[in-house]
Amino acid sequence: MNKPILFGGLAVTAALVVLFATSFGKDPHKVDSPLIGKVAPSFDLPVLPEVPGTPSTQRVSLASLKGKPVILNFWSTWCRPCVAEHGVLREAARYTGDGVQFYGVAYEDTDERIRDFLKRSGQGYPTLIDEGGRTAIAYGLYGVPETFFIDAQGVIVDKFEGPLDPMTLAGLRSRLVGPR
Amino acid sequence: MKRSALVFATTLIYSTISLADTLVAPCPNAGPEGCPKGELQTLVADEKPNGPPLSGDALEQRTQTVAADIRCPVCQGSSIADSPSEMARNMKSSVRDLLALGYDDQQVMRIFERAYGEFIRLEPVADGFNLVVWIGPIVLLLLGLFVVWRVVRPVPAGATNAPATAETGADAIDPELQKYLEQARALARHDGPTGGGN
Repeated sequence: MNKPILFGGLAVTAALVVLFATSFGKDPHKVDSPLIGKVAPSFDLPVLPEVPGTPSTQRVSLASLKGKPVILNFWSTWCRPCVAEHGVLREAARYTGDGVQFYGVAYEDTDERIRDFLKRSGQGYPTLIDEGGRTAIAYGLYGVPETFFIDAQGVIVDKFEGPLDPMTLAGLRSRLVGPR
Repeated sequence: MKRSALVFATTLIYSTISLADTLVAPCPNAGPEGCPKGELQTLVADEKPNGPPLSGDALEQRTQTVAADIRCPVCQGSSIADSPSEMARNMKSSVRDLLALGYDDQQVMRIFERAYGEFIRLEPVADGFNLVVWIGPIVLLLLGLFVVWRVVRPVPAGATNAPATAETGADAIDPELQKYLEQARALARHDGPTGGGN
């Protein structure tokens, strides 16, 4: 047996085994967000005006929410999974005992369509308008829905891509406020 | 004890900030155009621009250059300069606004990197583990050359068609090698009956 060939072959195989062992089961398109564990990007966004055609009278900034845990959900009416998870978020927002604040951020959508959808499906919590998509960019958004879990200190504890189910949402929420 | 003092101090600072915010709000960083300018605040955080503000053709050109290096996160391997998607257009307009305010190329890149990680760079930085991408091909090429060198042994010049020379005798042999061949034959004759036999 040719030793160099044997060891060369073993080295290549070992490298491949390590690569497969660490990478199998992972979504190759998923990139870990560098924002997790960091202070959430600040924002200052208008709330969807209640009366169509009127300018928004209310704004919400992250700074004004400091001291309260925030669940920030980027969504849009043209996104099926967002529509599917809306009920889950709306129901979860009804419980206010732990002080968690829910906010939706509309992504690439129009005021009319959002208002129309919320009228049909129930509002539950305020929707903010991200004109120009700058907040989405600051949060490193890849698509919708994406939900950010920000603790009372303003740090992003976790982020969830895709539609939330009640169990996952409850689990992530408990990490914002500690187990009850 | 220390911990509770820290928590108290933090709470105090936060409540002061949020109070200040409600007083100064709605958009503290409003530019000459009013509130929308303030939205850039979410991207730049506390960073101050390093360069001079750009405008006109210079701004447009620089926007193209920088945008060509930023990956469109909703596309497959194209830059925000090439993609017509709304996400890419929003990102490009952010690049333009940042450059217009005087943020330089590296700062703009860093701002996007802060949100998306290194993935946002179409061309990874030649640093650390990434160097494999640069050095790897060269190493593999050298390795290949080494293997070829080992497999194709240096054949003595002139002995390339060895069987033929064995048949035709001394005619085909390099005169340079002739004397060595003679020596070898002499040795073989000498050692023949003892060493080589049987």
